[in-house]
Amino acid sequence: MRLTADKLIVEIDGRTVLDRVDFGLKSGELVMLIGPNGSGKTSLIRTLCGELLPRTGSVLLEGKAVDQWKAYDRAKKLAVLFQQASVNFSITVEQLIQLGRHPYSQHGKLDSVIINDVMDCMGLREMAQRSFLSLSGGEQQRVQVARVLAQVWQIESELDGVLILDEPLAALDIVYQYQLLQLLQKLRSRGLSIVVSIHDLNLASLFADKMVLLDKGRAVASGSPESVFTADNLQQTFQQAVEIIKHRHTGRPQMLFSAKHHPV
Amino acid sequence: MLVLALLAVSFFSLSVGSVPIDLCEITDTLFGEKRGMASIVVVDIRLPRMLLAILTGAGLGVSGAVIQGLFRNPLAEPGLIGVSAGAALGAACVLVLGAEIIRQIAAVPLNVILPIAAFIGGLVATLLVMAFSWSRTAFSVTTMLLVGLALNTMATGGIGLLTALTDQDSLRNLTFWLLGSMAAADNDKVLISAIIIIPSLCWLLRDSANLDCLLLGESGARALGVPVTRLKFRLVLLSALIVGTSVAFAGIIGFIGLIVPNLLRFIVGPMHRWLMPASAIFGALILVAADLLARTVWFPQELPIGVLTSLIGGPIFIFLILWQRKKGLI
Repeated sequence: MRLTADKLIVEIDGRTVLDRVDFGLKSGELVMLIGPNGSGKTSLIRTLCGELLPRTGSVLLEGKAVDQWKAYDRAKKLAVLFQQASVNFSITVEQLIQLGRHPYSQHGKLDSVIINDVMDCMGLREMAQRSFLSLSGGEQQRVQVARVLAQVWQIESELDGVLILDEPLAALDIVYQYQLLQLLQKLRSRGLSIVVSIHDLNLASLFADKMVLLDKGRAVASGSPESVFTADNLQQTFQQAVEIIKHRHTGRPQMLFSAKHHPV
Repeated sequence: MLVLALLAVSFFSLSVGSVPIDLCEITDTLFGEKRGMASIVVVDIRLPRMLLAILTGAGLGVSGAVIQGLFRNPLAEPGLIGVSAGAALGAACVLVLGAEIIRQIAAVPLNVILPIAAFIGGLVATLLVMAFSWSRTAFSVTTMLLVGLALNTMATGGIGLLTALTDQDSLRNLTFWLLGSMAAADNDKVLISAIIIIPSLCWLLRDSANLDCLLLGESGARALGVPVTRLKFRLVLLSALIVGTSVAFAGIIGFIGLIVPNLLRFIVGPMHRWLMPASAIFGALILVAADLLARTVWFPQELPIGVLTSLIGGPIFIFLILWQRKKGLI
């Protein structure tokens, strides 16, 4: 197991935001966190990367408590992209991605190879010298993803890090959403372990190895898309009548809103 | 290029004044054995003044860049967190209330007491801001700015009160002090400034890569392994030291910390590895030039240097606000 959490209870200002949540991420696994707004996805992500400290329970990164790691060693193993990662200065795309290499003490040729690699991955090569502030919301998001990729990137070897992305699809158009998830799937097969919080349930079901369904701070279901993505689970969590159909090619469950419950 | 410009302006500032001295004479006095009228003017009067301007300008330029990086806002200024005003209040207290008492007790000249009081005032202001804006595990930058604003207002009020209480002579002294001047420069002040400012600058430069990461926000920087809380403490303390010292010896000189890093961001970009050294040199350059203007444009009267920097800095500040608004940043 790369990253595990055991019976996490997390409180913010006396309010319980995570209630006895268990979590496990194997190496080379893509786990998707789903759930309504305020269900605890972001809190779980902030706890997994050590930003929030649990009142009880523990988070282990490669068997060692996540807050016991030396900061730079941890940053080489675990990269995280938070929501609302705004930048107020006119930094270029390449400079921003370069920040992802900060935890590494040696800077030089390797860094520029890695930065070019991740820019190619995210289709950013031709905007390398543009100012981050001049980009559209979706382009900025792709640059930020490239930055966290650079943090755990390795050349021609197994990727053994953990990548955590909090709603990386926000602001992306449907093509880039799909492309980003395809890229994550590819990186996963190179060994990278990935946690993604996501609102598009159908995309989550298509790409996830494992899903965690959160509701009011509890993990109400977790496991394969087939076991989590049931009409009962989704109906209870989202308070909406849904139907489940099978994806024609992959056989993965997909969700439709039940028209019969809609007021006409 | 900046270094060359600084050297040129520095030499020029040594030569211009009530007694014009040509450049050959200056090199003779600086590097030769000759003692005379020229050497007294250059070595005893203009050189300390120029060196103090260089140290103060470099310090203010870099602390401006640091505070802007810390607040992640190009409109921030060291004065914002209340250091300058706190330092000025410290000085004002001593000038108006305590000078006689302290002089009798400690038998130290006012020249030494004043800067120390300003320095302590600056530090106290910073520590207050830090204490108030510390919540549980982290600094809140918003609280820090607001508390700084409140401290600034209170310090200004305090200075106003002291001005109302005081007699005419020390009032004039006080006004002059609060608008900044290099006129009080002497070898002791240059030495003390150098001892405090140079090591602080070097220490700050070591944090340039960490400051770059802070562009991503505190969570983002922490995720890159930056020890954010300790970093913030260090940055605030060191810039307080620098700003406090500069206010102590040269009064409040506004806008240098704002103009310098912002203009340089257009040229060298926002990465602190380049921005900070460039701010040091450009800050020094601007202050030496400003001091040169301050003592020559209205000759034989001398203008407070803060009048000049504010007159030039104010419009640039407005331009920056408009530019930011156009970019959708505020």
